[in-house]
Parts: sequence; C-alpha cells; structure tokens
Amino acid sequence: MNDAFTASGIVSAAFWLTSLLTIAAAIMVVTLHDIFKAAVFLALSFVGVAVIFFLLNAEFVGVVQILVYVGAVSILIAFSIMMISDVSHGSQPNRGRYVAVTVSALVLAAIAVVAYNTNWTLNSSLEDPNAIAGLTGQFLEEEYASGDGRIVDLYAGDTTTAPSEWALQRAQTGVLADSTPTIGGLLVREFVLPFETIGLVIVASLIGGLALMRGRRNEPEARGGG
Amino acid sequence: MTVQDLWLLSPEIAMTGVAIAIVFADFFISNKRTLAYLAVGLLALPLLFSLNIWFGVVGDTTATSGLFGSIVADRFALFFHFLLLGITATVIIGSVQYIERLKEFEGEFIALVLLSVTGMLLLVSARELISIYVALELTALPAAALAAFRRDNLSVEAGLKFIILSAVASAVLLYGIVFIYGYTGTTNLAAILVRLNDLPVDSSVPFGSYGVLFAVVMIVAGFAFKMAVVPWQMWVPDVYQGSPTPVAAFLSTASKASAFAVVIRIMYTSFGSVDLQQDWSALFAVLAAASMVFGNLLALSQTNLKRLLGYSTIAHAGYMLVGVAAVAANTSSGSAIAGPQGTMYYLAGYAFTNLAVFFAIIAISNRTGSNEISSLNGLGKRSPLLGVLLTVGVISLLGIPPTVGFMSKAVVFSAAVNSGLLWLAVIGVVNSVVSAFYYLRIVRAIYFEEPKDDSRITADVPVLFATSVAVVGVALFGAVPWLILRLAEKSLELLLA
Repeated sequence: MNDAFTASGIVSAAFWLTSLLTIAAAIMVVTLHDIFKAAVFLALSFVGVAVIFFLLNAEFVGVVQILVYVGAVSILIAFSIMMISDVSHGSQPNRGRYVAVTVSALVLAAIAVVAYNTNWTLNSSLEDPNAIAGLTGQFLEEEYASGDGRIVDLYAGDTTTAPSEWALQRAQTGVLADSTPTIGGLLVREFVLPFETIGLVIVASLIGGLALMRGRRNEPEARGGG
Repeated sequence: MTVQDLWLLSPEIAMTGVAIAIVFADFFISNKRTLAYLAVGLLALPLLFSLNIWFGVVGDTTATSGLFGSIVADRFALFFHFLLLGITATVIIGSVQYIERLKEFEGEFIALVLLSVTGMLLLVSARELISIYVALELTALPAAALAAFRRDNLSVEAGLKFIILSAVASAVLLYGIVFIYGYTGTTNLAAILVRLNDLPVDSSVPFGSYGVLFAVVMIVAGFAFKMAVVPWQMWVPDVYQGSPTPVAAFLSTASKASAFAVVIRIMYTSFGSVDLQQDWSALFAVLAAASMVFGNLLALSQTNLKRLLGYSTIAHAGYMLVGVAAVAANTSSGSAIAGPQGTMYYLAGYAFTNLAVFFAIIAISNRTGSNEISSLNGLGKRSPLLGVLLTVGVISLLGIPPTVGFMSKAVVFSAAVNSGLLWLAVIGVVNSVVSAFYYLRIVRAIYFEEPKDDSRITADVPVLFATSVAVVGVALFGAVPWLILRLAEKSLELLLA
C-alpha cells in the first residue's frame, strides 16, 4: 500500500513542507535588509510553527501561537517599524555575521548529534504509569490502560465518577486527542505558581517601562556615583 | 491550593504585597527618605513569615513541599531568604541618597528592587523547572530596568546589554529544560532524579546519555549568566560600570546568591546520584578555574573602580564554584557537605564584603563625582573613617585574615582538597595572590597617594550606616565563622538527605 495515501503519509508530507517553509522564512528574516519585509517573513514563520503544532495534535498551542504571535506580536513589530523613519535603508550589515553563522551551525550540529544519539524513551516502552502520564502531559490521578499498552487519563481529575465519554474514546485511540482541557487543568493546578508569577513579571515590566519613559526634566546629575 | 501551600508561599506573597504597597505609599509620602525606611521596615513581614516556617510556629511543620511539588520551603530555601532579605535591607538603606536625588519615580525604584527580590525568593524555593524559569525572569526584568535607571548613555547601554544577554541566557536555559523534559517526561526536580534512575544508562557517555549531558550543560550555561561565571561573564563589567552603583551592589550580591542557590538545588536534587555528581563536578571545576583566571587577569589593568569590581566579581564567582565542584560524593575526609556549605558561607561573606566596598565607593563618589581609582587618592586623610571601612572591605575581597573573605576561601579550598580537587585549590590560591596586585592598588591610593584636593569627605548618615553594618558583618563572620557555617549545615541536611 502506498504510504503517501494514508493519513500518516499526508501528515508527514505536510510536516516536511511546513518545516521547509518555516526555515526558509526564518532565514529570510535574518538576511533581509529591509526590516519591514523581515517582519512579514517573521509572521510567516510564526504561521509555519503554528501549523506544526496542529500536526502534533497540540491544537490549543497552535491557536495561541496564531493569536499571540501572528496576531499581536507581528502587528506590534510592524507598528514599531512604522514609527521609525528610514525603513527602506534597513539595518547595517552585521559585521559579526560570519562568526554568528559559524556559532549557529555548531549549535545546530550539536543539537542534531545529541538528538540523534539519545535513546529517547517511547511511551510504549515504559512501564511506570506516572512516567507515561508525565510524557503525555497528563498528571491526573487515575490512569487506565488501553488495550495496546498506552495509558491515558480517563477521569480528568474527578475520581468519584465514571470515566467520561471523550476520555474513553481517547483511551481507545491512544492519542492526545483533546489537549485543551488538560492544559486548562494544568494551568490552575500543577502549574498555578508559574502562571501567577507571570502576572508579577507583567507588573514589573509595566513599572519598569513607566520609570524608564519618564520625562527628561529634573534629572539627577549624571555623576559617576550613582 | 491549600492553606498549607499559602503558608509555604507566605514570604513570597508578603514580599509582593510590600512591593505593591510601596508604589501606593509613594503617592502619599512626600519625604522619600521616610518611604525608603518604610520599605526597610516592611521587610520584617517576609522575614517573620520565613522565621515562622523555620521554627514551625504556625502551620504544618512536617510538610515543606507544596503546590503539587512546585515549591519547597525547606531550610535551604530559608537560609537564602534570610540572606536575600538582609542584602535588600542594606541596599535600600544605602540607596537613600540616590533615591532622594531621583526627584521622581522614587517609589518605583524601590518597588522594582522589591519585585526583583520576590523573584529571587521564589527562585530559591522553587523545585520545578518551569517555576524556576519564570522566577528567573521575574528577577531579571526589574533588574534590567534598574540598570538603565540613570538613563545616561552608559546606563542605557548597561540596561540593554543586561536584558538582551539575559534573554539569550534564558533561551539557552529553556533548551536545557526542554531536553530534560523530553528525556524524563517531568519538570519536577525530585521526579527527574527518580526517572533518571529508572532509565537505561550508557556508561560511555557522561551523565549516562547525550540528551542529559546536553541538558545539564545548557542549564548550567543559562545560570552562568546570573552567577557571572565564564562563559557568560562579558556583561558584568559593562553593566556594573553603567548602572547606578546601588544597583550594581544589588546585582553582585543578591542576584548571584540566588543563582548559586538554584544551581546547588538542581544539581543535588535532580542529578544527585553518585555517578552524576562526579560528572558535573568536573564541569564546575573547569568553569571555576576559567572564571578565576579570566576575572583576575582582566581586573589587573582596570582603572575604573566599578569595572574593576565587575572583573573581581567574576573571579569570586569562580572561587564560589570551587565549593560547588567539591561534591559530596567525592569527599573522602571531613564533612561530606563541606563543598556546598562552603559556597553558602562564601556567598554570605561575599555579600557583606561587596556591600561594604560598594557603599563606601558610593559615599566617596557622591563627593568626588568620579569612580576612578585615582579619586581615592589620599582618602585616608580626607575621611579616615571611610578609608578604614573601604580598606577592610578590600582586604576581605583579597582574602587576608581575620576577615570573612579569608575564612570563606579557606573553607572552599579545603573542601576542594578533601574531594580530590587539589589542582583546583592550587589555581585558587595562585589567583588569590595575583588579585593582591589590583586590590592593594586601591589600598595604596587610599593611604600612600597625595590627594589633588584635600577637602574633607563627609558621608551621608544612611550610606555610612549601611557600610558600617556590612563591615561589622565582615569582621564578625570572619572571627566567628561557625555562626554561618552551622546555619548552612542545618540548611543542607534536608537537601542532601
């Protein structure tokens, strides 16, 4: 049977196409002199990353990627560029670019060697349910073994009632079919601390931004002793 | 989230409250000196909550881990809580004069310091990699704003360099976290250890697997930025020179202490098995040697005091890493925890020493308007008191007995010898001798050079107070080292158990 016509064949074809497009767009971002064009290519590479998230069944992360990065960050960059004159002249050619290319290539090579030589444990080879729950991103209390050895959360944290319909379905397909509720649960449970801390980071950036944008009057003397 | 979780988080929550309260109090308090003292007074709140957890007065005293294991308020974390709160109080008192001269946004300056400290308190308590990462960002972002606070060219350059390099270092750290998560399937430090013990080990590769090797190298490289050690040391002199001096003092003590704390915690919790300890001991030994040599050699030719202290702080980070490299698993004689214990003692002693030096320099440069070493010429005549305070600080940096600088070097070097790292201890001692060249240049300027202008220098009371407190610490903890060593030993018992 021709692999290209099966579902996984289409998925992997889409993966390679998107990856090529994303990498090409990313290379354009760092080589183009016109920063406005660079910003447009940056948005394109963000879309490519979002598509890869969708292909990995991480639809929530994919949607967030489009909303936040393509929708907000790219627009913000475009507006910032519009505020600056002399856009068409672009940025100065980077004198350290050959060093940068060498360093990037070395890092890429290191990551490739490491990723290829590491014995990544597959879910199916694990016996500890907690480890599998970790690998699938599901830290909920009850696990249920599906027929093919994969373990999927069924109870969505509620141990008093029977497994829900969608959870049973997931157990049968063995795929992380619906990651959104899991992510939502994790954000207010296991990862509530970093989630709330991000709020403080935003407060700090607001206060810092305001303080640095203050008017030029009443400057303390810029003497050596701070 | 249970009430117990809230108790464990209470120092951090209180610290956040204090930071926000200062922003609001700024609206009503027109005397900014009062505002700064209010902030110092309010630091008693997080301190009381930390003391409460240490002595177990209110709340469950047996459970130290909470919030699904993402936070732990053990004695190791509390040791650093006390240290960080002490540094913060000293820094704010010493900055009173700087804050007054700002004329506006005084409350924001204090609030940014407090928010950064909130991040550090979280950083030393977090036991989960994503929490650690977010806490690290919370320490770095306000620090970058503070570095650029003076807004002249040097200060803006300092802020920009800090934030860009800190972002790159964060990316490197995240790469390490991703590899660890991909390999073990968890971000919880304790669970990582359990999983690494389960997974097959390839004994021909350090750390048993290329993935873990890469992850550890990346994580250490990411934290090297905050610790100010090679290979992420290049920002240090520029940022110290450009940022307001109180901010440089804050970065060189608090920021460094929290980064060392989290590195010790990650290494001993997640990679704490005997084989792994030997692997990362070698990594830290190399970094320690490189930092000591690099920092000391480049400090030799500096004429600007703040730049010189920047290079000196890189060298001192190297000495501290000697203690981290002297792992418990390799220790053949003496206390097994002497290495990390020595690093904790060094961090506390270095905090007192560096604060003394920085605040003495603030007091002097407020009058002379210069940070060059030549501006210290004849300080012994112009202000005998400041001359003595600065000299005590500098000889503690150099490591002459009976200061805390000597005792802490003695502790980490002997820990290195006991764990089979004789070569590293030798490099450390040679470096200490080399550092005498530039530290003694400062002392010579104070006592043996003729001043251009021999008007007297009178320091403002708060900054003099901060300097004196730090110098008393230098002398006290040098004379009675077991005060901190015992505390550090108690703190490490839980971590290494």
